Amino acid sequence: MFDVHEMEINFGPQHPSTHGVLRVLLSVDGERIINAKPVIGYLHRGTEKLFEHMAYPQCVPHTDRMDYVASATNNLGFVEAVEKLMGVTAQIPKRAQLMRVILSELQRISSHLLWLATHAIDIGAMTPFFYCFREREQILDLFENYCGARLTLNCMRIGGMPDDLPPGWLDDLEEFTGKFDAAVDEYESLLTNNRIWKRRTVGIGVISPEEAIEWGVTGPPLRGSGVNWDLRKALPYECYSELDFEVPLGINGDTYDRYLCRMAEMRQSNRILKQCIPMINATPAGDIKAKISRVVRPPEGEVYHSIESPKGELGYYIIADGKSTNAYRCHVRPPSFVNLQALPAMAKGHLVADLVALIGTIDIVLGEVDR
Amino acid sequence: MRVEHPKPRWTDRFLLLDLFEGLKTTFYELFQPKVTVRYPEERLEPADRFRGMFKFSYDRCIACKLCAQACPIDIIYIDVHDEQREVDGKMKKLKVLDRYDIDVKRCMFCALCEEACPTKPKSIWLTTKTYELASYDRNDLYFNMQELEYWDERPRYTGLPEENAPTQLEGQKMLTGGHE
Repeated sequence: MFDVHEMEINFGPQHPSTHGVLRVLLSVDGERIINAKPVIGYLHRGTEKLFEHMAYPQCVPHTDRMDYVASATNNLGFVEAVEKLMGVTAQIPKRAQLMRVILSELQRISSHLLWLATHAIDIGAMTPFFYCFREREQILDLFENYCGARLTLNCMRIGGMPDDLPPGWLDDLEEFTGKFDAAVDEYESLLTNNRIWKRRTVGIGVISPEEAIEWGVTGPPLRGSGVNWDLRKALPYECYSELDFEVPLGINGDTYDRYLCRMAEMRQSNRILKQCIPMINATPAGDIKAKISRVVRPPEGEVYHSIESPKGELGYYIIADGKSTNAYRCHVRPPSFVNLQALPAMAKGHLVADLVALIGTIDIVLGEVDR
Repeated sequence: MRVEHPKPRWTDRFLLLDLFEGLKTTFYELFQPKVTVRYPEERLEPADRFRGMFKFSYDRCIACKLCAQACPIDIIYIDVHDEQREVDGKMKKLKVLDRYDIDVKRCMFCALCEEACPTKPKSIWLTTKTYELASYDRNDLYFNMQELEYWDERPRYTGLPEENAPTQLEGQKMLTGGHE
């Protein structure tokens, strides 16, 4: 009477809480998950193969389409990898570096806001969605004023930035950063103490620091378990070493701690933005491009460069043959793909309803998982 | 830096104060100005750098094909022939544009073509502040040289009901031929 009746069901790929086209093959005993197996590939577009057939500058708009809610950091990872391969990293002007930092921190806030909005709405809290999208809209307006696009930005070029900041942009940014801390307080007032939110998140999907490292998890899921690993601190790129910020770490490694980590990260990103404004005002206007040749032809060699994207370590591995203007091979190490590996370990023993919270908490974007 | 967990309060047990904390926020927001816009009656003006629909200038174009080379998805089709023409009393070899087509339905609006254009001002640019490109036929979004230059004379979607448009009831009658 009490023996296990294992049943296999599909969760997704059309389920609204899977954030795209993720299919999870569940083995359940009643409501309890025995095994959860992610099935991916529904959004595979062959981006890595595309990179082999186009010149390096043409790849940049394609990187937008991988993690389409955080395209600025995707651009940053790619252009930095190519710059490292060409050996021109030191020549990037200070102003361009600061602009890159500003755009990627804005993108981090925007990505975390979208994560919070959808994660909360999955679990049943509808109100934060509207407030998060209100602030996200302001960030998208800043992007639109800078580069002309709101989502797929294509806002970085190999060797610098495409355009200088438009007049008045920094004032808009200052206004946004001034208001944003209060906005985070507002989201936290809706969720942090809320008993329903706590019941749905505390103790759900606990992953220990050792397990997290073994799975290769990076980003907020790793820091939620208390491992101090942030590439902005560990392997500083651009001018992060000059900026003062802290890496928030969780204690228990559950969904609630990952939530607290991301909220604290948004505050830290805002802190970085506030520091960047006087620094960028001190740099000469228009000095945004390194003097490199128009035709990008890196010397023969290979390079791996990784940055801290909102979701974790985003790495690009590029091999150049030294003759052509396109890469011989380009491999992407997307954070979502690697973090998704930990889902079966996290989901074991939980209820099907908690799976929605778990998919939300690892913050995946299927465009990046499948590439 | 370790994140701070909220301290448990003794009132949490029975007073449901934590729920009222959130309700306070929503009540405050009730009296804040609205941020939404009633599209299509109201429209927001895009930014100056907004990448929207293309515009092309035949007079400025020097037929260098740099835009077609820069395009990551090869949707710009250019045909050129050489012609001997008299310029300032001298015979000169000129490039004449035969074809300049853009398959806008496949475009991802990265603006690399605009960046590659060597003429000043640009012969191809995307800062037209036009984003309402929807069409009932996908072939309407294949633009040739003339269409790229003069598309703003096309009838545009306004979002408002057309004058003399049949009402829903009249439309039903037209479909059924007046029969119930």
